[in-house]
Amino acid sequence: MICPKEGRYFLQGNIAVGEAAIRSGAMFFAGYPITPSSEIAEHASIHLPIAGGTFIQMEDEISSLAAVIGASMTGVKAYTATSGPGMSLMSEHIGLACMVEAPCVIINVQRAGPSTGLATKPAQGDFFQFRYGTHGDHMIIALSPASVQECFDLTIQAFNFAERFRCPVFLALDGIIGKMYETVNIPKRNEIKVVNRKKAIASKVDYQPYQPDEHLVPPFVPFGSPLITRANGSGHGIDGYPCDDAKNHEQLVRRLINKIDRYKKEISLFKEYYTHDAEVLIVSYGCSTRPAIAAMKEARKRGIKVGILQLQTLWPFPEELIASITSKAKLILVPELSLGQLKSEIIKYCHQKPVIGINKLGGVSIQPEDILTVLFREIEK
Amino acid sequence: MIYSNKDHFEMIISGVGGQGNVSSGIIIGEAASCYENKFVTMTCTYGTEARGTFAKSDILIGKDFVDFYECQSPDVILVLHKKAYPKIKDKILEDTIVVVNKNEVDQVNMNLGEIFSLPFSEIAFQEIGSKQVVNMIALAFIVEKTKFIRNESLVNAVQNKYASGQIAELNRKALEVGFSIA
Repeated sequence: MICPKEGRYFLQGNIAVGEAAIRSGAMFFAGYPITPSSEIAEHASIHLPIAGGTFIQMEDEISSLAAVIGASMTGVKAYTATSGPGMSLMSEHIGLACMVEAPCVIINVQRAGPSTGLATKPAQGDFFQFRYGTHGDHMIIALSPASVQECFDLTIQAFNFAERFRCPVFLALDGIIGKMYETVNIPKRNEIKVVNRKKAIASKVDYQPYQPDEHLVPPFVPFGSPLITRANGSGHGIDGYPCDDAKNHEQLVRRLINKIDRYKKEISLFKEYYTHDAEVLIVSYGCSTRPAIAAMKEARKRGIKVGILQLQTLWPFPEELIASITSKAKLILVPELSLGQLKSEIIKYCHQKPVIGINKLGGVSIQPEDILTVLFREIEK
Repeated sequence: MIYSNKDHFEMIISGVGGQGNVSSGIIIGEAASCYENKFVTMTCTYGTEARGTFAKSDILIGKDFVDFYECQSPDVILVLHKKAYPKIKDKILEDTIVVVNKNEVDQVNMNLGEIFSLPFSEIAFQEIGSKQVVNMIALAFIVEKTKFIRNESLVNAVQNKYASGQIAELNRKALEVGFSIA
């Protein structure tokens, strides 16, 4: 590992993700390097084998996620890293991971799209792709860091959620946060809370691989163990065999959604800055949080009560949090490196308060001045 | 011009790819983060080419956290190549210290900022016998002049990066030269 022990380091966001993955117990990476995520694959290729794990560079992103799902079903913690174009190729297997309930972490360091877009240049345009990138009804978890420290912390969290809920978890970085270097505190190994998937305890006679526990998650049996398990992308019963019965499908899909939805409050991670008296609320995530903090401090110097809600969990979307926190605000600003994807979600839950987007394309960062200009214009109205 | 007590310090290292603009930033980041308990944020700009096109690092040093990751009022700008000067010129403020490698940058507006123009390439070649340590000499020069971090923090960070061998020795000497010409 680059950071052999606890302490202070100066790391790139992508490298902090890799360091956290190994500390989470990840032992398998399959991927196809793409900027601005390539350092995650590079880090895995060097450090996973040393830790006793496996790195495979695949022929494309379709096979990358397939390999990750396969590895996960053998009981290994597995991850992959990509950017928008690779995410699009992974779409089919995101659904497969949901359906077979394969815990895995998919890191998308977002770059400007659509298509190959602007290589290496940052964006936040995959907000809805995280949620709806694969077909069919499903629920997804997506976490997004706004600093290199959060890259480390939320990677640990992503693996923990994946293991606990037996589902794919996205880590939504962007080209700015992934490529940024920053001071990081790496905790002691024994201070890092690591969750491992619940193992099935059953006899050969009564074992059903998709029999959920009280939390709606089926305890896990790895491929190759004496208890026979199955993984099936088609509708399946608790035995794992294909089943196209209407009632069974309804139960299965509802459970896949409810196992996450039921714990939405625990999954919903966020940070607040001066929201207690904020008349203007900035809602942000990822890189856009940083110019927002600078703009908020400048506005407060001038006597304007601005606060920030930084979403670390993007999906499941924290509707109740948005509804309660926006109730006191007179104006809501949403800076993002897209044409208003987060904004359109906030509008649904913010009591018809005015929501103004601060949007930028072209792979360049939002500046604090961009936010202040809109703020001053709006409060003068 | 002493910055040791400043709560927020900004520095741009600019040049072209291959001159160590990013690795210099990492060394400063490690020196301030690991040896002085400061908080450092660095963002980099570079082309898809490995060498020869504009490259820069924005390094921001704070006490506990740095809000925004791009330099808005740089205290120091290092210019290692003539291709970089036009790109960073607009960032120069009245009291910005602009350190220029005279051998690589021929045209500089002497009224913009406080200029220190030194023949770093020549010094590197004469004193160390290698132009590859130009960035190290310049870094040491800036640290000695401004004291935004302690000299020994820079030495420790460089030593930590290049533990032993010829490269470590070259860099160690380069730092000594840089400190001495400030």
